[in-house]
Amino acid sequence: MNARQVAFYRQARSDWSIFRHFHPRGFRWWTAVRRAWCSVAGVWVFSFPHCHELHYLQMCTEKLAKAYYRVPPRGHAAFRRFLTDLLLNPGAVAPLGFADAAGLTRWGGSVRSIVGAIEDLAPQIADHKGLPNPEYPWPRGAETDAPADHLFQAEVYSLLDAQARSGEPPFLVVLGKMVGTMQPGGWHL
Amino acid sequence: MTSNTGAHESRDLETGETVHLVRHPGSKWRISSYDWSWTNGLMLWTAQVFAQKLGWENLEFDTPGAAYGFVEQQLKEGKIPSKGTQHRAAFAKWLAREHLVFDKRLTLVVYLPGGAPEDEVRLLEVNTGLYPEPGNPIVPVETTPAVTDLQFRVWVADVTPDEWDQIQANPGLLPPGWSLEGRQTIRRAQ
Repeated sequence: MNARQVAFYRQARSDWSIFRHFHPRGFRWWTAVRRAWCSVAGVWVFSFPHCHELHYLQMCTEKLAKAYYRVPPRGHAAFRRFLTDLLLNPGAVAPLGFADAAGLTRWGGSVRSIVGAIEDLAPQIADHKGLPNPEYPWPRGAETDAPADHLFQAEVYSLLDAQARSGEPPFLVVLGKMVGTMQPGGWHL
Repeated sequence: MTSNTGAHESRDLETGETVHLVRHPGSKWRISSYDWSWTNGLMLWTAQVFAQKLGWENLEFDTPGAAYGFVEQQLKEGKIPSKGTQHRAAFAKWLAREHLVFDKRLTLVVYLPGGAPEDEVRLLEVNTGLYPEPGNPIVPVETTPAVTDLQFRVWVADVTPDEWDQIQANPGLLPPGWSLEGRQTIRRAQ
């Protein structure tokens, strides 16, 4: 990795840790248990709107993608480019927990729509496509909707749930391995 | 230098092609053709490129070495088909199709062999999901997979559909050293 790649990689890891703070492993199960316990105990459940974790998820993926290349792709549209190239990188197969390249390819097919959805969360791209983003109110120039009020169910969470039920390794699990192994595993370009 | 006797001569180049020369009585050396072979399973295939096809039929050289040197230079500059470019083109098209399959934002991929070094694959990918800031230059990104035995370095430049229209009218907008000469367009399979 050159110095620019290392800087992007370090920031991606930091973004990932913030995302995991908002969205820990077993998030759905833990959230359900906590809500049930709090309602019994009469305690107010402290939680954050989904936009915050998605903001960090989008930033993590964009920076991870930009860390992969010696020269970064143009603009914010980097994550799809990265996944496209990752599927053709045999060096990433084992670090990401796949037995062979075919496994990585199958997984790639299962996450195509999620990868696009996360990339489209970047405000600049979302504005062009007329989509909600997790950072700024929209639509640009005539803002009426706040990210904090939006659930992002159709845009992201339904896709994550569907992929997690596909039989392929869950997207967030493999993304976590990408964050953890890109530099030490040496599978970057 | 001319001679009253005719002659033929051939030489194998380091890049795998064999160049065939001819000297007719009273003439200098001329290139008649060059060829290369490869195997596919049990089959042996040979490709032959004739001088007439390249407009070289009237080129004359004082020595065989000058003729071989001319062909080597043309091959090196990627101006004529070669053993390397044949494999390179096949690899480039395969890679382009892989990209089209995964990324639905890509409307087409253009393989640009013109002027590229023998070991380089250049792809221009027309991307409907790209929204570069005004003035953001078209910069190719090296995407070579980390495979030790891969013969090629892969460079990809993403452009918007508008930029692709502009490039076709003005190839000077391409990254430095890139050319539309000999371009091959790969589209998504229907």
